[in-house]
Amino acid sequence: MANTAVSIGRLRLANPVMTASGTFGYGEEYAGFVDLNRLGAVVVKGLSLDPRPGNPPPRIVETPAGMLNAIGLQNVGVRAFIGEKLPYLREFAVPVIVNIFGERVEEYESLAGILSETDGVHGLEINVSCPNVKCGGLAFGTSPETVGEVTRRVRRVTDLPVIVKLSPNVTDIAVMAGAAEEAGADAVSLINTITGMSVDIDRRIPHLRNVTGGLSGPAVRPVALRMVWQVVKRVGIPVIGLGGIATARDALEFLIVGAKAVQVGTASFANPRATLDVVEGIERHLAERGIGDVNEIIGTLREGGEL
Amino acid sequence: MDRIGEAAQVKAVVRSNTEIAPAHFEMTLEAQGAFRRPEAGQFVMVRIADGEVFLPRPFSVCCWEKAVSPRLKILYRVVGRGTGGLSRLGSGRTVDLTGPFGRGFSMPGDGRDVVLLGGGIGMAPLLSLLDRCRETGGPRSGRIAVYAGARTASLLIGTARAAECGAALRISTDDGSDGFHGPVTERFARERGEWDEKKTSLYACGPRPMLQSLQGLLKGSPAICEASLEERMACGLGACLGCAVAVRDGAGNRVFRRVCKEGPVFPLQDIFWE
Repeated sequence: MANTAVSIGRLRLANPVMTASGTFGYGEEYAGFVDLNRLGAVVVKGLSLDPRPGNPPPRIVETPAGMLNAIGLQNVGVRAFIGEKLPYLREFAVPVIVNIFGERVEEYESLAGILSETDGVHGLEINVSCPNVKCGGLAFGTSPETVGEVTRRVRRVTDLPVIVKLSPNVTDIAVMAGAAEEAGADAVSLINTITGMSVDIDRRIPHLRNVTGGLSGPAVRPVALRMVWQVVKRVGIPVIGLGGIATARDALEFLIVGAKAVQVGTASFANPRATLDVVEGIERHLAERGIGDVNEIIGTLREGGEL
Repeated sequence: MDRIGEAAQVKAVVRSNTEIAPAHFEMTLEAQGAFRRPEAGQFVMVRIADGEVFLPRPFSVCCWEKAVSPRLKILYRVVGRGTGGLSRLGSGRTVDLTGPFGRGFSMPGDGRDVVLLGGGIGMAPLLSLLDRCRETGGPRSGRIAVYAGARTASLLIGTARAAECGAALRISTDDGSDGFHGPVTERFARERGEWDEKKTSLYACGPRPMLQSLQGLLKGSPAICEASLEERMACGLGACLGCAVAVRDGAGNRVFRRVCKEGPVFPLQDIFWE
């Protein structure tokens, strides 16, 4: 069987397929559908220092080939995560990456400090890109200075691999990726959701109580792919691609443009087995073409087309 | 007794899809694989395989048969693209079926009277509870009444099934075309003297104004009332956090709970209306 293992800095993944934060709960929710040990990594729902209740409903609406959400970073808080959610994940061999966010830089620092001393946490994903709360990250994600500042401060307090999750709601995402790299990030992941909205024409109100929300699902995939392609050209650290990936074909597009790994997100809502389907599809793709190692595919885009 | 939990994902074949009232359908799905029988009030997610609709949709299971393969029935009203697409599926078509999900109704204790209040398509989860009551022979010695309401007579749902199950049927319509002329809750309000509320379990499902008015009626009553709620959801299994509803927790705080996981059934008095 072909080698499917990839490395994100010091983090070794059995295959390049991770879950996307906010779409896979804390892992246990999918236990009946997916053997977590078959995944490259599990990225859990974003955590803050204290629990957050989230936004009032309605919080989601389906849109063409995707959905808008304005959950508002509802989460149990880092203490409850460690006490109540992590023990379940520790039963598995799969690397656990914890997505963190804060309203102040100090909050990111504290979270990184606490999680660095916690057994069973294998990496941190810094969320500087949630569009749905006033200070929930995006405030830091739209300027290279603040992306760099948050990354640097987290880097200083942790030995864990640090992945910075970037927002597409900026003029040039490659600039943000460059800032994360210079500040010591081990990898970047992109894209988070694209800000959007939708209106109920009968009642003339927004479908979401928050008015705007984050667009995800297959609708965003070409945008995400283009941004990953841009960022790969700009930075030397590994790039993790996400945005609308639902099948192995989708994932392979990201790998070919240079992503070292991918995350499957909204697709898990439509098909709880989506992550596993992508893993198995990549394995089949390699086997059918006699490719011995998934790394032989990564970054092999032939931009000139048929040569 | 089947256990709660252990959801499955299977293909299911549409065996029938009948318009039982204007824009209201009853669909029979045959699971192509092991599928656990839902508890009364639990729901399933249905997705049209390779359809134009991206997300699955949640439906209460109103009826269950185990012939050769498990068969379940859902009732739905066409309100948008998801249910519209579903309504056009003919027999033999395949859908993705996942579930069963959520926390259903608590079964009434022995000797308790049971009152079900259903508004329109809200009868669906109540029918599954009636089925269970009939099967378990319970509530022993208690009476069962079904208050079924709709805008008009042609939109009354599940009344024949309720009668078959041996429940006393009490119909209301907003336009007076059948039964009591007015909301289902008003009929119940007028007749509630017939029930010893200390020994009555109520179960309700329907439009939010109906549930809200019932909550008002029952304020301070010793009756136990559970309500099944509906909310837009993406995953159905507790991950997307899209289906939040504000409820009172054990300590009296206002908190968000997931309709898909902690619900869809909640104690009526705990629900906050936005």
